[in-house]
Amino acid sequence: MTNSAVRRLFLSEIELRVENALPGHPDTVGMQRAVQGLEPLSRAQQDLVLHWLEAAAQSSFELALHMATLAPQALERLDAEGFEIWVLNGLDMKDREDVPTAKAFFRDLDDFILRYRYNDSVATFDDVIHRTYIFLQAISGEALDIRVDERDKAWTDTQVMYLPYELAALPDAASNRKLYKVMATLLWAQTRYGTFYAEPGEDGQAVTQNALLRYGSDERALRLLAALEAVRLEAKLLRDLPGLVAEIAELRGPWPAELEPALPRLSQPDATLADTLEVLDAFLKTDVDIPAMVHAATIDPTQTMKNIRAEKRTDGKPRFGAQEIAFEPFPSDFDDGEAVGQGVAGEDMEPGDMPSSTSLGKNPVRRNDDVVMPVNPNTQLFPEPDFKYDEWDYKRGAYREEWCHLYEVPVAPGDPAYVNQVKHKYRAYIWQIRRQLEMIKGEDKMLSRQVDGEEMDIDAMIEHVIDHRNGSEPSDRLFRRRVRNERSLAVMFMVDMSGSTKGWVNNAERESLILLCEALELLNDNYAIYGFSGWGHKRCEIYPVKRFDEQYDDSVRAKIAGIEGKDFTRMGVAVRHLSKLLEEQGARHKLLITISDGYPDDFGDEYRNNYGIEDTRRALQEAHERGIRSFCVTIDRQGADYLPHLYGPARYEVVPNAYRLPMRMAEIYRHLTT
Amino acid sequence: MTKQTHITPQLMRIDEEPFYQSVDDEIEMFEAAAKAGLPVLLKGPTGCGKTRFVEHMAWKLKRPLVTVSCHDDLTTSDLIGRYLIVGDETVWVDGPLTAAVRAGAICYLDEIVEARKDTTVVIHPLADARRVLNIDKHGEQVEAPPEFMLVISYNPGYQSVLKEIKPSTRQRFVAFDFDYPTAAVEAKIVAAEGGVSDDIAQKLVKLGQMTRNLKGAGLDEGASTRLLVHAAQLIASGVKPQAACTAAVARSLSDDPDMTASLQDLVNAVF
Ligand SMILES: Nc1ncnc2c1ncn2[C@@H]1O[C@H](COP(=O)(O)OP(=O)(O)OP(=O)(O)O)[C@@H](O)[C@H]1O
Ligand SMILES: [Mg+2]
Repeated sequence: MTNSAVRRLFLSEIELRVENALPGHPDTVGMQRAVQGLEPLSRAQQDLVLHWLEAAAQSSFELALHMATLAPQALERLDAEGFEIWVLNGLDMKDREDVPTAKAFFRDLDDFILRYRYNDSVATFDDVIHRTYIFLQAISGEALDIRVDERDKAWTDTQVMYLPYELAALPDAASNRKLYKVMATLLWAQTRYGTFYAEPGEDGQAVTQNALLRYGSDERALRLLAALEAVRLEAKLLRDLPGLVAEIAELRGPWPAELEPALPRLSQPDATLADTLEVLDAFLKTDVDIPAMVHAATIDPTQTMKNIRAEKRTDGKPRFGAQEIAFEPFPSDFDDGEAVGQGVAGEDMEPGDMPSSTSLGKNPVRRNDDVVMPVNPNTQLFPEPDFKYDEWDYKRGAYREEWCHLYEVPVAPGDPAYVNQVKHKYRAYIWQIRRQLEMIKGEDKMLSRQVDGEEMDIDAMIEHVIDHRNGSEPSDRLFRRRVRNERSLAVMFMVDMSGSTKGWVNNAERESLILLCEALELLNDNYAIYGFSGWGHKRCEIYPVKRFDEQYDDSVRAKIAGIEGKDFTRMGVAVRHLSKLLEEQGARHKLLITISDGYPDDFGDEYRNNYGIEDTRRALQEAHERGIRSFCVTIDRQGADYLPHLYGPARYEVVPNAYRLPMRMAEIYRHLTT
Repeated sequence: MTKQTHITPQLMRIDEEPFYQSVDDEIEMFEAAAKAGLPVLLKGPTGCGKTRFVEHMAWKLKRPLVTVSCHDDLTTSDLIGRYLIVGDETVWVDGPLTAAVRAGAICYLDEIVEARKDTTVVIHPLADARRVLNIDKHGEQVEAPPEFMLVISYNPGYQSVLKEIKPSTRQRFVAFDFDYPTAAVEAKIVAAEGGVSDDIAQKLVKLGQMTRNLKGAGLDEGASTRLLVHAAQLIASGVKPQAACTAAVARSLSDDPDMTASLQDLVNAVF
């Protein structure tokens, strides 16, 4: 090796770089050992390890040294890319857990290598969900509910589509990702093209989903059924999505020979479930069996019907793909005596009453009126409220004066590490939003007709000359001046902290706020964040997370992490209070953005149902009249029918899945304010 | 007083019929508004045929057309006109709006929400019963002839709180709602404008509709008729359909890598 640039580093050179990376580290013996380990490596490997040693030292000297000591072993078995992933995983581990856990991770090289090799060819639900979701929404026009199946199967109950957590059936990750897309599309097709329902046969006899139930848990029958339906559904997809069908054909390879006899009939574009069942029955009379196919989704009629029943979907409608298919009502022998009569809007109800049907009933804390609730222990002990607000009683067509007692309650700080985890999770996205917001910020404005400035205003000059000639008094505003675009905007984020948001909705809210704050720090927009909840009109609560005059600092971060589900959703009073705070800001444009997960609801009095909706609507109206623009983001897939009325004076958007909220919030913000 | 000379900007005269596929009764409605001397507001998403419609109507009514694309730097002088100095003389130059009024033309102000509020108010007296334009700079009041017609447009899809049309502006106009046409009609447009077969046009429209399903779910707007026409034109000039859609649709709708990948999946699924 003649070129000194690529010669290996001498012991002393390595020593120097290690000492520089870990200045003053007491473990000199350990350092010496690491240096000796690095000496025999190639120059590229030495550089790689030293680079990562320096990077890891930013996080922990001890951990960095540990990694460097193990690096020669690791490099025997990993290429440079694998090595980097190994180091990054260890550093992540330290961020999420602690140094000892991360050290243990580095020591267990075998485990990492096993997973790394494996991961190379595996696709996971998390990898594909976003893309799959968009794809299916585009082809179906509906917001579908897609979840991981605990039993690792792909199946649907016509409301939720379940997919395995990971797929490794095909040799490489790209193919496995395609497989996810194909499986998901076929699940959608099952509902769309009537796997669980068939048109009445020629004799007028309805072939219902019960036809499927007769196969019980006969595995051969269900496997054949899945395969035959895969044939039929593929033919259905051919007309609109020929490209996708070609992809499916490539993934699955040729149909198994055993299926040949079924192909002509089931590939007809107008074949129905009835055709599948006839072919299936013919197969079952023989002893034909076929191996399970990688792409054919499981059809599990028993489980599907059970879920449908649990949802009490007595309208019998599948939740998605519903436009062209309908379920027959269930025969009574299928019902185990549970009450099935669910209110449907317009039946047996006061005009305008909100139906208490299942479509709105997913809020876990929404109680039935006849359920006896424990008495709120605080009832008797209320101190003097911080604020009192009127509330709109639509039945009387008048306000109830000072009806709502509002308390400002501090938010208990949450885990300080939370914010960093979220930042890490969305790092690519934060960067992207920032870039977009940067563009808003970067737009300078030229003001014309200024008394001074950096260039002459030609129009003003000409006018000046003309006025001068005409004998009228010329203006002395002859310059153009560049100024930072002043947005003069104040934004209030009003966050639903009712009990129903516990869990994933809460998490989505927290993540959204962190994304927003991280990005908003770039702009000079004045913004505040408040949570709201409460229990009855005498204990309405508001939780300041960030006041207008507060900086986005560690204490605010900890409060965001501390956002959690509390009690009920009395929305009107929160809108009134927060729009008052917003109004006090001198900004020219005022924007109230609410994030909630359903309709206003409170315990104990009539706030539930129409009263709450009318009051909230009224409060938004009041805000509008005072120049405050509202935008409501709702995480609720099914409630969309009451939203246009509720948000009458405001604009709104329904975000169907909580996990999409963070990204969507950032986009919505950008649109509303540029 | 200095001697004043007028310079008038070129007006566009449309002699050849621009292809416009009517969707509803908008042609008759526009004719009625023209007859009654009422100003018109066209609402609708980008690329759905608003501009084309106005061009078609200008041709049909045999009136010149003046189009102004509004932006937030547009001043009143940009619309009405200004003085220039030529040699020793001051010369008044009509702005496009003044020119349109004098000529009895159709004046089309595209994306009116982008204009500054103080600019928007100069059209008020033209857009009500007075039908006059006040040129304060030289104290002239131009009365609009019966042929003059004011048309404004805006896209209500995703409105920023910083940009709203004032009710006092908007309530002067007869409003037309535009949207992307039905699949069959849109396929006709794409085939005619893009020069492709009905089969290709239908696939493009299918793709367009799928992307419109993503409005509010990651996309601000789905693919417009304009984008579909662009894709068709690329195909007609020999580009493979998938590549044409990638360039004209997938990439132009989003920068988000996930979204672009999904749009690519859709393109691949349809062709
Ligand atoms: N009804 C239609 N008849 C004929 N062509 C149409 C029609 N609708 C759309 N197009 C085609 O779409 C293209 C875009 O339409 P146009 O420019 O009129 O959109 P626009 O609504 O004015 O959009 P923007 O708001 O972005 O200005 C046209 O050039 C034309 O090719
Ligand atoms: Mg246009």
